[in-house]
Amino acid sequence: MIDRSVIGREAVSEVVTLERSRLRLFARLLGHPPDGVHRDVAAARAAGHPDLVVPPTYLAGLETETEAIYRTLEDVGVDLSAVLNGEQHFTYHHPLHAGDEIVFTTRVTDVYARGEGRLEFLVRESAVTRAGELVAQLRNTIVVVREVAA
Amino acid sequence: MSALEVGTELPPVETGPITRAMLALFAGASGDHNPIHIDTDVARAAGFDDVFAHGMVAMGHLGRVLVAWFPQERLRGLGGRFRRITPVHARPRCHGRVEEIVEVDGERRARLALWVTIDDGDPVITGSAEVALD
Repeated sequence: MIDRSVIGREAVSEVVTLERSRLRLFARLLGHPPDGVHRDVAAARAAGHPDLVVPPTYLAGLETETEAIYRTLEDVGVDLSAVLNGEQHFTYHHPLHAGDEIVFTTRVTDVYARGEGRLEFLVRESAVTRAGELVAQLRNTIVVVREVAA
Repeated sequence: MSALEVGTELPPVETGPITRAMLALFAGASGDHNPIHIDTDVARAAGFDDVFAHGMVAMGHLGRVLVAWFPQERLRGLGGRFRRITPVHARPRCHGRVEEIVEVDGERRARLALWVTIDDGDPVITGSAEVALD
């Protein structure tokens, strides 16, 4: 069982810049139209945006890339190959665009088990800020699949 | 937008098949570098037959479809549960239905049920979103 003392653990990321070229690739892979506000700077500006619009699910992977989750899993002795993504939720407060600089503050908020301990869940919540202003919140649940003794 | 009422089903959207090349690029583009999605050796060592899509691929398609249905600046929230893995070659299909119209923080919002199915019709994601109507 994951030690519940990990609840409350907080990690603050470096400043992360939202990069145009990466946003374009992300948007292309997910089928956003080539002439739309997520891939075409001119289209974004024509629609009143300062730059490319950040797709609604982009922040989740960027939070993963801060590696806070890997450090947490290592600390609680869980192998990455034993985890699956369980849930992901986004709350949006202000739109984000290419060129914005953001910070993730991620906190472990819950740990619980189901199925006689075969499945464990690690819940983390992230506040995403731009120049100190809250722009979005994320909630992620990781599922840890434990081996069942034969 | 004003024609939306409880029970309105949004037109389903099917996406192209999941490919290994797409998963490799998605790892870099998204920032989720977990090798289980891009390295068959790692996937097999973990007990899977093959690599499989990041959950955020199917949810990302859902996000893309959602902002085609509604302007993104009206989106207040989005989320869901990953029910099972999305295998390579699957074609995710995104679905949505208006569940209720509510008033939050002085604005009218539609609460949507969202789900993504693959070829056998069973959901890989069940989720929801909240969209401002006016």
